[in-house]
Amino acid sequence: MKLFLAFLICSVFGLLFPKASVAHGDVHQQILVLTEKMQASTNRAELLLRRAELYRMDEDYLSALADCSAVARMDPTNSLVHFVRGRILFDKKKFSAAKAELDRFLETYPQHSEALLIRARSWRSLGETTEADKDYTMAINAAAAPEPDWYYEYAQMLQAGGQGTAALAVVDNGCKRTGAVSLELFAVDLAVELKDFDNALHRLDKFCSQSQRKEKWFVRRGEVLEKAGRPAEACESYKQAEQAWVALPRQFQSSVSAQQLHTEIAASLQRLK
Amino acid sequence: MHLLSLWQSRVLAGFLLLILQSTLPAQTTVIFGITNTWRYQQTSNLNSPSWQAPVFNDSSWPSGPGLLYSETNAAISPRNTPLTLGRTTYYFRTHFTLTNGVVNAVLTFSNRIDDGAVFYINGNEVQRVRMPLAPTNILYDTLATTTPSGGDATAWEVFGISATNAIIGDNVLAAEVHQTSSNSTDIVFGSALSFAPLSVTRGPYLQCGLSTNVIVRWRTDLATESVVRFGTNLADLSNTVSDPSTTTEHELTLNGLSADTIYFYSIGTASGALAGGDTNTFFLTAPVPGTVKPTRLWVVGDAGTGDTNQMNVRDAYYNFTGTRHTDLWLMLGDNAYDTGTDTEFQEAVFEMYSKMLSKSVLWPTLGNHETAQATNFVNTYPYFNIFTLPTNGVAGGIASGTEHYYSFDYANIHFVCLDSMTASRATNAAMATWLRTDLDSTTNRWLIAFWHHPPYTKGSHNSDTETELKEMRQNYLPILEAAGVDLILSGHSHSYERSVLLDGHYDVSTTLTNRMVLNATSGAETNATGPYTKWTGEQSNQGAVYVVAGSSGKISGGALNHPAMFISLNQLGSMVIDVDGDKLTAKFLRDNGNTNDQFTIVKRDVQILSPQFVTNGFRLSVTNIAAGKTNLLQASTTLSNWVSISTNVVGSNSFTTFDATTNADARFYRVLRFP
Repeated sequence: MKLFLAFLICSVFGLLFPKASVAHGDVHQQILVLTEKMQASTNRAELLLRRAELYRMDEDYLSALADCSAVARMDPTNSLVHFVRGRILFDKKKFSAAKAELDRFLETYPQHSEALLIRARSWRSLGETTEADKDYTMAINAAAAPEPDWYYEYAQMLQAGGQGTAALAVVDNGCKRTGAVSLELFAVDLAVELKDFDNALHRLDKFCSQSQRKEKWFVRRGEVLEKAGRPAEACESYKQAEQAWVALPRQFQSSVSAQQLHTEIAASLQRLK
Repeated sequence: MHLLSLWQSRVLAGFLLLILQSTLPAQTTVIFGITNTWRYQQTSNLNSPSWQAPVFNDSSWPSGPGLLYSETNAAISPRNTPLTLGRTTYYFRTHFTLTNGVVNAVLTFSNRIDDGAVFYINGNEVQRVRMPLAPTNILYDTLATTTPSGGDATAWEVFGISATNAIIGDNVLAAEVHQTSSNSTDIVFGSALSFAPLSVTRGPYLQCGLSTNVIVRWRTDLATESVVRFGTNLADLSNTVSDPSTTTEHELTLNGLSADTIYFYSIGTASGALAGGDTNTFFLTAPVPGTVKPTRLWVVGDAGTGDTNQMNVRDAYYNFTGTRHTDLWLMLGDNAYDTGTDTEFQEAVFEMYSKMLSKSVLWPTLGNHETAQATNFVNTYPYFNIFTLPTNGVAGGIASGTEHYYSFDYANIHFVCLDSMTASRATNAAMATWLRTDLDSTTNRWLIAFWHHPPYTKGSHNSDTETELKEMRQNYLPILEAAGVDLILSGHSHSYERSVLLDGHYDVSTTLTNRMVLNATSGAETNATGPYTKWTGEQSNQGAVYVVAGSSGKISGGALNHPAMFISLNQLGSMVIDVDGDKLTAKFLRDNGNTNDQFTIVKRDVQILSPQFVTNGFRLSVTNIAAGKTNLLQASTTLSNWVSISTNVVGSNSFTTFDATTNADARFYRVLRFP
């Protein structure tokens, strides 16, 4: 039942609160439709909030905020206004004000993952990474199926703040929950940055065993081994990459990325001669 | 709830109505209500199962109407028969009569239980509520695992079970209620029972169809267990996959299948089939990945109007394909107007294409109307509940970790589906990182990509000005073209626009140059210049055809004058794509059955001899030509965008030729030698 309610709320919010720019032709048309509907509607608040979102997408922040204010005047208890306004202010780069609005919304909906995510971004933009850290964690925990990008964004913040170990922990959590290759690759980079070379190699070995084409993974492995000060093993890995590359069908050898990779392999083998 | 506006309340009411409809269909018959009279036992430990059996003599047990209780919470009513505290387990029995058939019918229990319970029909266990899961034996001193939500039995708890354990005539329903601890301070039991025939309200439909497995999904109006019966012989559907948990949203994965094989199937419950088991309900498993097999794809874009336009486009395809099986089916977004609700999907997808859904695997992408224009990168849109898409690389691609974008293999084709609506379109975002890795991992001959927002269009949308369209073009086409993409499909504009063979056009339409047009002809096989040819000796940037196929439900006109397009039509229709070995043929099939555009891409294996740069006049000497081979002489000033200047150069050990077409500029030349 809790899952259903979460889905219901997210669906309602999803329908109500689109985020960024879409084709503006669609947005303008919808603004017109909503404005027309308002003439006949007895409950204008809902339409105003929807229109505020459309104005936000159109980057017409003044009109968007005006619609929010109108709703707040009609119904001071409507906490959804704070979410809509928070998003508008975030887009407007008024991060402190955005955070304050989201605070008020989250008092009523403390598990709203998207609001938590935007508040995390607001904190981050304000340089308050400790608070952002908390909100990212809560946003991810509150989501039934958090998306890989959320972990990516969160970990990048930690990495930029010199918290590589914490970033790797976040990415690892994301790998476990999503299995996304984009996160796995990020984890390799983080492990190398932390000089935890065996960790990185272990991850690459996993990729290599699962992949139809192994040449890229052998090269990455060689690079990690070089950084780890293990040139003999690195050389062996580059040789394996060369063998895998040579075994590729001709059409794949000729792609731009494959050609670049081959050049890299040759250069690496030459370097380690 | 007071915070929800009328509009939100309507959405909420829609969901609740859906739930209500799914639990209480029109044909429901109430067998007994919550005040039904039960025999009960609260003085003995009944560890032998005999008390559950129909023949058990319960005449010595006291009786009373529900609710039977020892409870001080005034919110719980109607409280009719007091019980005595102090027992770990209480036993209840009642009789009921069925007059209708029990096959594919559901018994729905609406209960008040504090704390846990086990139910039996005619001596057979049918349900546990907050009790240790089977196979744990339930004895007198077995404790319930937890209390009801909120601590007391204040809310209805509803579950449905297949009526297979019941019979027409007299039946015995037995229940035992367990406490969470021996010193629990309350006990409540009551149950209302209703009977209804079960029906399928959605599907069956096929998802994630691979060479060894496929997912079958369907929806029923009442929660039941799930069973798929299948086999290669329609008369013998002896293979079974089942899930005993009760649900209205059924989803079963059939594993261990043989590749490229037809399986007939039915869906239903333990007591029998609800749908299928006929000649129209089958799936054809994919061939072993990488193998060559004639493959037919049907592609619809912006189809979800649910109106006669959509029907006409659908029927034109049904007539066109006839008995030729559709191996797979792509939806290019805006699959259900206007906001992508479950109800809209029901009308525009499940009712519209029911015949196709039961036998051809559908691979969709997200459009702006699936999200009601929202760009939030979340998976709470109904689309994600409706479809099951590969996130973990099992379908042949690399794990994306999300259903927003994914890849899969079919025969010798690698498909990539991107999310142009809600995912970050930045080149360093997760989707781009995943795409690069995925493309570096495939070994398939063909590469087809699809997403909603077209990189080139001058239809009802403009790719020169709209953000999503521009970003997909600028950020994703370089990745895909470098990996040798052959065909890119999208919708969004409600028209059919199809490009020439194109490469490297990433800016606005006015920047298109001849250098980016690798072949400006129609690409039709019947054309004098023949199909678009891609030499497989080179993978990258050999050209791709871009198609906007967004007119499967409506047409919206527009300038329709994008210079990259070979043809632009304001006509209703869908695309039919046939891939056979090294040849891909695509048609635009109109709603009236006419084919108003057709092109073919052919892949030809060649051995490319090293290019030579000619500085000595126009005379070219080639010494590595094997006798008896067919050769093609090509020229280029940049070592890319090779132009064929002479076909069928006679094979010999060497030759000297003169390029009559060139001007005074020096050029590179090369020879393609066909096997």
